Amino acid sequence: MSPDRYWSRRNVLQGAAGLAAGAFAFPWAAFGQSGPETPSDSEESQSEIFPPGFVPGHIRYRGGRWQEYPSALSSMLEEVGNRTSIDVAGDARVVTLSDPALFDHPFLYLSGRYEFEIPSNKDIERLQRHLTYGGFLLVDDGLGFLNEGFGRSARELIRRLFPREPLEPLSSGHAVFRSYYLIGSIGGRQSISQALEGVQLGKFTPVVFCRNDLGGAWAKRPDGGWAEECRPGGEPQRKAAFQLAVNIALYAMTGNYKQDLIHHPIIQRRLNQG
Amino acid sequence: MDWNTIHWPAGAPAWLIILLAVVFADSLRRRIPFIRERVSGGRAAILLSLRALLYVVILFFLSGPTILEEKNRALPPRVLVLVDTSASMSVKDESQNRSRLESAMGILLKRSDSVEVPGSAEGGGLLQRLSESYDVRVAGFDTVSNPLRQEDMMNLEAAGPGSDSLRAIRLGVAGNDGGAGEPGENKQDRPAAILLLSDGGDTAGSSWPPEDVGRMPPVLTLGFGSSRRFRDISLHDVRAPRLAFEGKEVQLEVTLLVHGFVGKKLPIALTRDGRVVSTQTVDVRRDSSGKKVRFRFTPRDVGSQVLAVETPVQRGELVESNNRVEIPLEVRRNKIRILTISGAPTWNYRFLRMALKRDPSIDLVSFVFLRTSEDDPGVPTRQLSLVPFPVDTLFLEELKNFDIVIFDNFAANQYFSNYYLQRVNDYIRGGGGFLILGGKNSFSSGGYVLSPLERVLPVRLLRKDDFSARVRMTGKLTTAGSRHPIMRLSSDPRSNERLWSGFPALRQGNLTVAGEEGAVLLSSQAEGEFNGAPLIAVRRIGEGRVLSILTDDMWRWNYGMVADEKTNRLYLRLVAQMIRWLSGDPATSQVQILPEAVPGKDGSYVIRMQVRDVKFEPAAGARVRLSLRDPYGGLHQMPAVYRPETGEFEARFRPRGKGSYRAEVIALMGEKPLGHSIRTVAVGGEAGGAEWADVRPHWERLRVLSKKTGGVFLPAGEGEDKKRVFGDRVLEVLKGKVPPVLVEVRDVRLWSIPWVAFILILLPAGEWTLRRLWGLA
Repeated sequence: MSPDRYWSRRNVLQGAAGLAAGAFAFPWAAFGQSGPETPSDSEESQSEIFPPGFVPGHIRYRGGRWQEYPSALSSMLEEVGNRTSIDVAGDARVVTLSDPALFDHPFLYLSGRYEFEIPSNKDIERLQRHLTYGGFLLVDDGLGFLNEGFGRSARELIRRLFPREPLEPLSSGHAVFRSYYLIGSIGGRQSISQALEGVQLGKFTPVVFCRNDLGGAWAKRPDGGWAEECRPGGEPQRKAAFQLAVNIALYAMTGNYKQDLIHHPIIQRRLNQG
Repeated sequence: MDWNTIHWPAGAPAWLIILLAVVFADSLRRRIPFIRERVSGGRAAILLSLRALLYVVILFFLSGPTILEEKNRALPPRVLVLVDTSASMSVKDESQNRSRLESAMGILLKRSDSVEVPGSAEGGGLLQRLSESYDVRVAGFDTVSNPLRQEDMMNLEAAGPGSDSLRAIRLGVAGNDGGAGEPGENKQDRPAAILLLSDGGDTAGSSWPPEDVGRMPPVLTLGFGSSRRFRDISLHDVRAPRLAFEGKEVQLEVTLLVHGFVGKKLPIALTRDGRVVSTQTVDVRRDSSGKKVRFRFTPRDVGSQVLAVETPVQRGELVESNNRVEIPLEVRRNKIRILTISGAPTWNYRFLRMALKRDPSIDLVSFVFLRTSEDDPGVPTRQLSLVPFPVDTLFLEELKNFDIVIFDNFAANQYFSNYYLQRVNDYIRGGGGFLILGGKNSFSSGGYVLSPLERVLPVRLLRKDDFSARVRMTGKLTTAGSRHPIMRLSSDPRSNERLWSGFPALRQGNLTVAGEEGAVLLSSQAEGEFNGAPLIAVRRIGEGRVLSILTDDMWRWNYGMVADEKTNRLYLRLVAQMIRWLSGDPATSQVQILPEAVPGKDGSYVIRMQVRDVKFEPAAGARVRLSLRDPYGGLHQMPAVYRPETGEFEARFRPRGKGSYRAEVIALMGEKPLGHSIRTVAVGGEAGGAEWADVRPHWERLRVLSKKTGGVFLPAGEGEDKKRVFGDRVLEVLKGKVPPVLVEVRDVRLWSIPWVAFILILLPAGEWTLRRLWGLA
């Protein structure tokens, strides 16, 4: 957990409320264990005490460049944490496909701009198993070309993951566009495509492919400013990129929840209102 | 010896023959100058020709020339006699009110009471007369065949549950007339002819004639039964679902077959447990034509039940048992309606939802709090898909319509008052299922201390935050857990324990202590300083059930298994069993009736019951009352006795007949009910059955079988040719079909014939003699 994240509004409020009530007692006290770690403890030990529910796994691969924007996911997580009730981590964990920890992270993120080495058959089988049994993969293409660079390798990887299920554009009624925000446009650092693509397995879409470089829109410089300018739409395009991040995270964690019948009338009414 | 039959079934390999031919040719080529130097041209030609001829003869014999040799043998041909002993042969439609089997045995054995039997006119029975000319083997058959000895035949009964004469013939042809062992093609044991005594019944659904009829020897068929005297009404060929849903109409269809009652109006009734549900009348206009009778039925009670379609027995009917056909029906809840309320989106919710959505019988309504008042989406509400939480509708109106309510890491007191939680408490006591999952918004950390829900939980809450992310939770099955239907991932206890110990450790959860009255700990923390803290616990409250899982990290059981075992089947099974128990599925009840009634020595039957206490241990001190409704509507009450050696209760009764009995058991411990169970129990197999569905004589099958195999069909019962003695006729026909002497045909290797072999010796001997005479060494 980053220091910024630790001192977020929610954590401060929680701490204050706990202190005011005078009842911030931890359960291990009842079992004779020592008290909690202090806020000044290291980032590692804090994440062990309260491992948050949403810890994306950022896939590291061979060839190309697996991490174009080191700050992209922490920035995205911060926004998801501020806008929703999801309990988020301060940053993603870096994983390889052969990593035993791969299955600790149901949400995986694969990004880059350049071609990369297609993983071994064994690793592809692991990733396929991960996604078939409830996992989710967001593929973020920083270049956005169909048959060049990262997109070319990523599409080949997806084809080998799911040879029978093609990568197809998601319809506007897909749950990913309604899981939180009622999304009308696909944001990102660039605006190559206004469609998301996905692989459908049964009623769930375990792979979502974006060509607009979401990571570029999320990333921040060390001084807090945005790392990249969003073109051509400027800040509204960045705002759309964060809204999409929230929706994708919620879709991964709730599936087609927003397509349950109970939500239909209200969502439809709001869509009709524009 | 017929040289036209020469053939080459087997010989030396071709490569060897070619190799030898090359060697021989080379040997001959080298020999030519040697011989010509020493003897005159004529003599050389003779010697070389003799050697060449020897080589050719050797090569010829190596190729394995064989001729066919026929020999007449004086052994009597084998005749297999097959007697149909299926239940339909007990129908008494033969003359003098005798059964079909009695008539058949009369012909075979010449019984003293079989005066009218045609075969008896000449001395001994047909079997004895056959034995004078043939090697006779006798077998009885129904769905299986067994060899019959003379003493067996004296007391033969027609009671077989089905008829499969073609199987018996095939076994006989394969040289296995019913003895032990697998049938195999054995030419020596193959019968030269088969004598089949049957009414033509077939419950195997074979085609007549069968496809392999060409491989059968002549089959002489003797047809029993009388189409003229046969009168019967049968109900059979049930078409009905095995599984039905509460309140959903099902259609039941049976076939009515009537012989000899043209013009009658037959009442047909659908009954349930002996009580008439609906009736209809069928006007019989034509004989022997099947009519479909359809009923519609809407089950109202969950559980197993027996329906029956029946019609009264008419005067003169030959078979009574096929006037009733039973239809077992397993009725389940239409849908299990589940309400889940989650405090936040979590992986626990994601994987639980995935498991629940897989089951088509589950109707899931879920609410996930996607934001709290502290979260700022940054846009107006109209740009969000969020819906308001309908607390009043859910907790004041709709709660009763759910079978199960799940609180998933949900801090209820943040959203509504204890008044609503009291409604949940009432819902549970009234028979609802309640699952509470852990997390930092659950149990003590979720504010449930002193709430109306605390009183129903199977764990005791600490008066402080109980959520911890510093634990390593490895669930260990408790003794009660190893027996509980929720936790039984394998029917084998050791295997079950191994499966549970293989689950990945969880990393966070709520630390509580085990509950008291009525609470049952199924799995507890197995290591470390929190050893013994509950992980999974259950409790029965009033009519309802409560399940507590003290973690929000259970999704790791799904994914951990996927990583290790490549499947998540155990997680899915666990969730399915949790839902079954929470919904009050009868299969998870503490009281179970075993499906088969066991026959006792004195004609009585024993029904066995498993009665367990809340820890699923045998409840030896329970009071168990069993009521039994027989297939004819009679109700019998009887006590059940505990058997310590088996840990089961037993009730003994004397049945009124075969069929399905509806058993209902109620068990009490003191005044407290342990549960009850209703089940259909089979006694002595199914009443009626396929054999009784259609017991008409089917001579057309026998006729076509005989015709296609080159045999003859003789109607034994009708005695169509009164002037000729029946036994004579059979023997005459058999003699025409099966010659008394068998011709044995065998392969004879050419070189094994002595004079042929002599040539082989003669050629080198001749050559050697001439060489000596002409001065060659």
